[in-house]
Amino acid sequence: MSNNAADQLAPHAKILAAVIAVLGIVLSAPHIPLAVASVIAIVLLLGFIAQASIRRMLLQSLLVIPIAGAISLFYPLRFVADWQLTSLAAAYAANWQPMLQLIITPWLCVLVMMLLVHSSTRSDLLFGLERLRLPRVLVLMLSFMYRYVDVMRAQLRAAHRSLVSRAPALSKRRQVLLYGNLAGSMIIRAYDRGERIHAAMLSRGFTGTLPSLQEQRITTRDVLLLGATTLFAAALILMNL
Amino acid sequence: MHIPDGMLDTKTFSTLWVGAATGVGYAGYWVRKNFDSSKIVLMAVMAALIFALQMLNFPIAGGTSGHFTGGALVGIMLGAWPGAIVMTGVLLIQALFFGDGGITTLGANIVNLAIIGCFTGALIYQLFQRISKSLTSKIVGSFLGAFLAVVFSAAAVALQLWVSGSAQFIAALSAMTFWHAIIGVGEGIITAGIIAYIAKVRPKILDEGAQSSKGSFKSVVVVFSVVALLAASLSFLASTHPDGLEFVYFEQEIGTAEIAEETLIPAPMPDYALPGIENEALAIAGAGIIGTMLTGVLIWALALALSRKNKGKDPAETEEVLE
Repeated sequence: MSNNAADQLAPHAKILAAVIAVLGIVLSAPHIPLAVASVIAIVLLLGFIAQASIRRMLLQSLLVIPIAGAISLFYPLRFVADWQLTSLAAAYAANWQPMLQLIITPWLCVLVMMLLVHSSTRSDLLFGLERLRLPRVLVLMLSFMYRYVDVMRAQLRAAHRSLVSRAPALSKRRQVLLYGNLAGSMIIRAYDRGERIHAAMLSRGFTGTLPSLQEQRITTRDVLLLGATTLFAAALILMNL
Repeated sequence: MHIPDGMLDTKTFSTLWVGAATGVGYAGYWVRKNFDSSKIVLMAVMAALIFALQMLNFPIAGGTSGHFTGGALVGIMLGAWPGAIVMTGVLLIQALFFGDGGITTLGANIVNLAIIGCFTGALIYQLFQRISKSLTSKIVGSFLGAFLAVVFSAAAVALQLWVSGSAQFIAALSAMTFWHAIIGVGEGIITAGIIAYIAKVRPKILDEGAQSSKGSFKSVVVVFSVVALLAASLSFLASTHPDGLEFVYFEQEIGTAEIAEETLIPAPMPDYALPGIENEALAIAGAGIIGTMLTGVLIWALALALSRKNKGKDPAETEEVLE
């Protein structure tokens, strides 16, 4: 484990802090430039301190913009009276600010989540969820997803490659049928794999829960992080009242 | 179809969080009660696979593409409650690790994709299985289940955006259901293809899924209770204006209020309000709960009647009925 400040924080404290920050952003819906700029500046500064890849954080956060943008297009239609082109244009011109708001708020929230993801390891996040008392079945399932999702993706890619290389010029209908068979065979393999994994786990003393290697407790540093995030969220709400 | 943060207002996302927590809490209880650890491992591996299968993109019109969601498939294969847990896991990973779907809107996304998606897929498939156990019935049931799961989830998203004041209802509903009906066809074809393959190669897996859906009457009651509570909490949004038919009836002077008041049998809950309660909001909320529960009981009774009618019939004979 590296010695940067983010690694020394308890994962559950980091998750809680991210959720508080997201709540602060959603409840305040920052519309004044100072509030938006302060969220961006703080997230980027924390990312720099945590030695996270700022470029990847920014790029991945941008993925929400097309979805948010598409939804925001519906907003002005609430104010259209007669569905004429002039009325539509007037409604869009008069409501560009709330539309922009509907894009900025989700983007800032995703930016916060990307900071969490890029400043923690996946296993840390799973451990944090367990400490936050997420249902045991769900944590167990998430741990297995983390373990097997790359294996499954690699298998799916390999099967797809084999399909493309052996049958490059199939009709759309045949392709759809083959993809159905491919996915079906993947599911049967997953069933068999599930049985084998369970047998192997039982032989290693599996009792229905996963043992946690680390027992990281909340420290003064974590309390400070949670306090600072709560204050920041409150300040955002007050600033945008 | 994942709703990002900031699209739903506080009353909507908190109500949906309560609905999602109730649903997932009961699903967790159901799984612990009915599944041993081997099945839980199987659910986990299936969750990883569903996550990988979401890579299956298919083209839609205008150069866009949709991807497989898998809610109906896990609902059919594992049963509705285990399916809801699997989809919740997938949604949680997507929101937490990939920023796909928000944190405040995670409750809404769980209700739309995990609960509505899995239950629609599983219940429609089971309805077809009660009519006939043939391969055709499996294919038709899984296709319709997956198609309607996508369309219903999209309609629920439009409703939630409208309730939050983020979108105009008709525009959001039309756009969401139109595009998702096209995506639903892709989802339906993939789901039906997978179910047909498994039915031919390893039918035992589908039988196990059917076992998990047995005794789902309680499940249906729980789901309709959650929906009824949501209906009650949203009932204050009901418009006091007349509906389209009433408007035309009076505006075009087709009839008068006196004629409209004359009825053969008086309605038990006129104007969607519970009689005998003075508080208007309470009366409307009560009518919402009773109406939703009655609808649920009627649908369930219809499914039971269909299943009893076909019990003991030769499968080939019932297949003829279906075709």
